[in-house]
Amino acid sequence: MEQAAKHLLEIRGLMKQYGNKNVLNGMKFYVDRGEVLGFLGPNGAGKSTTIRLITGIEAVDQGKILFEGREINENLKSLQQSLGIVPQEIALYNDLSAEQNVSFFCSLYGVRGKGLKERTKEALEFVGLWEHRKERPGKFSGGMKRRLNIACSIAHSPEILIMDEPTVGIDPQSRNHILSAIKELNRRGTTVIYVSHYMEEIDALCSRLVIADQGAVILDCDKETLKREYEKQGISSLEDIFLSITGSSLRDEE
Amino acid sequence: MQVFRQMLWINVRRRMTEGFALGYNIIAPILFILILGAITKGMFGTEIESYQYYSVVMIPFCLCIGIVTIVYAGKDDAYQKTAYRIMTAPILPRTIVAAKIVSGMIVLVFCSLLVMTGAVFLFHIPIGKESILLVVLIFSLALLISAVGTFIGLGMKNFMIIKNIISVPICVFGLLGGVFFRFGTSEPIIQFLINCSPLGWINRACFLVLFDHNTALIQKLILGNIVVAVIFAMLAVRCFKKEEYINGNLPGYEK
Repeated sequence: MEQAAKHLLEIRGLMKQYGNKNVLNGMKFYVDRGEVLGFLGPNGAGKSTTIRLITGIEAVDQGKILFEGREINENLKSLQQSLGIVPQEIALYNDLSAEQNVSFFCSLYGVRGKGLKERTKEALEFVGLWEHRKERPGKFSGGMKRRLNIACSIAHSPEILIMDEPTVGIDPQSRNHILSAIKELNRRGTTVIYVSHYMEEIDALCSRLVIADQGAVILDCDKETLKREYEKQGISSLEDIFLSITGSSLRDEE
Repeated sequence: MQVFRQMLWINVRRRMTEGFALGYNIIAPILFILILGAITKGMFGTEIESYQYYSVVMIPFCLCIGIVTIVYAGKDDAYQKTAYRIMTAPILPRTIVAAKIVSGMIVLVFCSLLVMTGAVFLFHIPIGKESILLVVLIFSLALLISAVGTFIGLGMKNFMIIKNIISVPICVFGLLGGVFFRFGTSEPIIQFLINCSPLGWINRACFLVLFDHNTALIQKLILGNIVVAVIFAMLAVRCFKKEEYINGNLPGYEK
């Protein structure tokens, strides 16, 4: 008999090699249901590769990814059905309207008919774009595109939402709207894995932090505990804590 | 099936509105028929008019040239960055491939039949009850072109180079098949080359159906097209690579 899963998602000792280069060297962490996990690391830490492995886009060389206690090799479709990805790059069809974009991407998860219309409307309202539903994203501002990018990822009501730097290059108003939306999503029960280099966002959103460097996790702990620990050493900002953990040397590759 | 339908709809819609297919498969054949037909007016004897001749040969030729559009369509999702989103959804690669192939076929057939219908009425092409086989031939040829184009677009790393050069052999086959001007020869080597042109066989089959009511060759060609299309469709599914579909070798993209 299979035991009830301890964690919603568990990454166990992931190894990944491109050519002769080890990109992941035993990446290991877990995600619990209902939390907002900050997944941080300098360039080249292996964050994007880990996400690609979780989503099943690439195969794992070694190690395991468990979703609800089952390996994703035997459970990939189930994980993908429960997953929403907000890619770093804007992933939209510029020649379709905002509504058609959301509706299309939502339909890929088997949502149809009246339910599809309702969820499309909900997602667009949620990101504040319902009034612009007939417009094409080609005419949208950067912030509107980012919000539509999120709407396309949440319309099918994913259980886990992976957000890969969703606020890059947008104005403070749009960023504020997006952060509020993420908090609301989490309040409604969505588990969020949040990848960002903006420490103030991580501070505002995340309850737990996983910091990776050179393909492995170097720190996995509760955010408040971490901040308390470093406050004793006179380091108060999350950015300074991050630099203290990962070092200040430049990282020019990912 | 629902996901396939949605993928199909989005692909058909995008192909129909982006202009490439309309340019290659509606505007180009009309222009070629009108220009070449006018230049060679009166040179085809009494049995057939120049406009009729070029209508028959130009539609399959332009349909084949449409492969450029189909190859590009294979990488379209990578260009739009939507391939990543699609691949993270619970979709089987064969659904993506099938949607690309069927949508390509629908667009090619639509454009070709539109030009064909116009030509039949404008140039009084003699159509009999066997002419339905011409429509079936268009379908099978569109399926074949779409399957080969999708295989190249989705499965081949050097798709940009292939996309740029693929029209060269098609033009050579077209030349040998009498698309640009009709010619005959007793020279065995030239005759052999002419016989090597698939477009030559397709044109011959079309003329046999229209003017001799002979359907033997067209039936074989339809069957051949479908068999080869199925092989390429299977190859496209087999050669499908997620990473290539997402990123391809797009200009500016580096792994």
